Amino acid sequence: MQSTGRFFHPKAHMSSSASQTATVRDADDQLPGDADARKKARGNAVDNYSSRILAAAAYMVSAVTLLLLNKALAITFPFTFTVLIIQSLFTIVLNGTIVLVLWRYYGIKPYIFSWSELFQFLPVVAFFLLILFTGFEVLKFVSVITFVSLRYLSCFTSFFGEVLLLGKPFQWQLVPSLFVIVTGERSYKSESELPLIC
Amino acid sequence: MINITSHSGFSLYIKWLDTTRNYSVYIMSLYTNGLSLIFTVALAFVAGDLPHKSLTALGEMSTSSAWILICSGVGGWAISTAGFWANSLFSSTAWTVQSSLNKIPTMFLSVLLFGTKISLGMYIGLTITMLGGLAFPLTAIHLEQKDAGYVKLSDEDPEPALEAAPSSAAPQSAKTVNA
Repeated sequence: MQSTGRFFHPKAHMSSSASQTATVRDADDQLPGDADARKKARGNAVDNYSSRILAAAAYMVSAVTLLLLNKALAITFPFTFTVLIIQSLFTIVLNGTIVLVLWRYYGIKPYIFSWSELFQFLPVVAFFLLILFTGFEVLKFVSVITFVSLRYLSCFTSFFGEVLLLGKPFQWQLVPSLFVIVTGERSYKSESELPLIC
Repeated sequence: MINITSHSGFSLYIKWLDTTRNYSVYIMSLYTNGLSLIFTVALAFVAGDLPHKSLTALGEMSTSSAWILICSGVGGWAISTAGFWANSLFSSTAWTVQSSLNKIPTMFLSVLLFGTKISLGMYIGLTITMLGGLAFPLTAIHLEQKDAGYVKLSDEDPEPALEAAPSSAAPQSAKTVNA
């Protein structure tokens, strides 16, 4: 339960790593010889990988479904912004409901609204709208395949962005696998019908 | 290019917010969509979708298209929440790799649903990409475990150091679970 990040955890305001650290430290406080506590901490570590797999699967299924639905909608209902409005409304209503249910039944207090917190999300919104809008627009002119093949290049920009902007240490061991991903994309794209942008 | 850069910027900024602010995934999704709704409505008016065109099209929409639109709304919620959740658990690059690899099943479904043709060379390219996509998380996990000093966490491991000296073993234990 703890290692599912901030999805269902009662301490929803804590980061996944922070909550796991707290769990283990809580467990260690009960040492020496508290086997149950240590076992629980070990279980959390194992569950962390399970949570990652579950999150990856959920993200993959929703991304695949949404991309195909958007492609179908681009044909029958070509109003990009209206579709975005409807998707945002669904997200607000459903997430608002979840937050209220968690508050009512699990005692997790919702955040008190503050403008400073809200403004921190402005860059997120800018990127979010650019991703969705450009995605919609590109899908009107190219096939799903061409659109997808171009997106692989973002792996490199994210990798170097993490090193340069977030201060993550440069791990050269990860670079070959990124090259393999992009090589596969290039060989794939050279066979596809639309040599667009790159 | 804008789409690629935006995708990286989005994942990096979300990761930064995640590590510094610790919001829940629902709140992050709620704030993002609440703010984006304001801009989207404004853009819809500027583009001319609102107030007449899209509402008229909505009124004349067939039942099947309406269902697709509803499913798209639910899908929007799902990808937003699952995306924030995955981002909180992965590194920014891993999240981007995952986002890119999400498209491989999309390609196969595109072949099935829209009749898109894929040649043998394309299949080879996809296979190479999938191999890279598998190699990346495996390498990342290996490096995480190495960085954490990798203490194997299993029931068979009695952790003698922990038993003997709990005060010195506690930080190592916490670090390992963080990996």
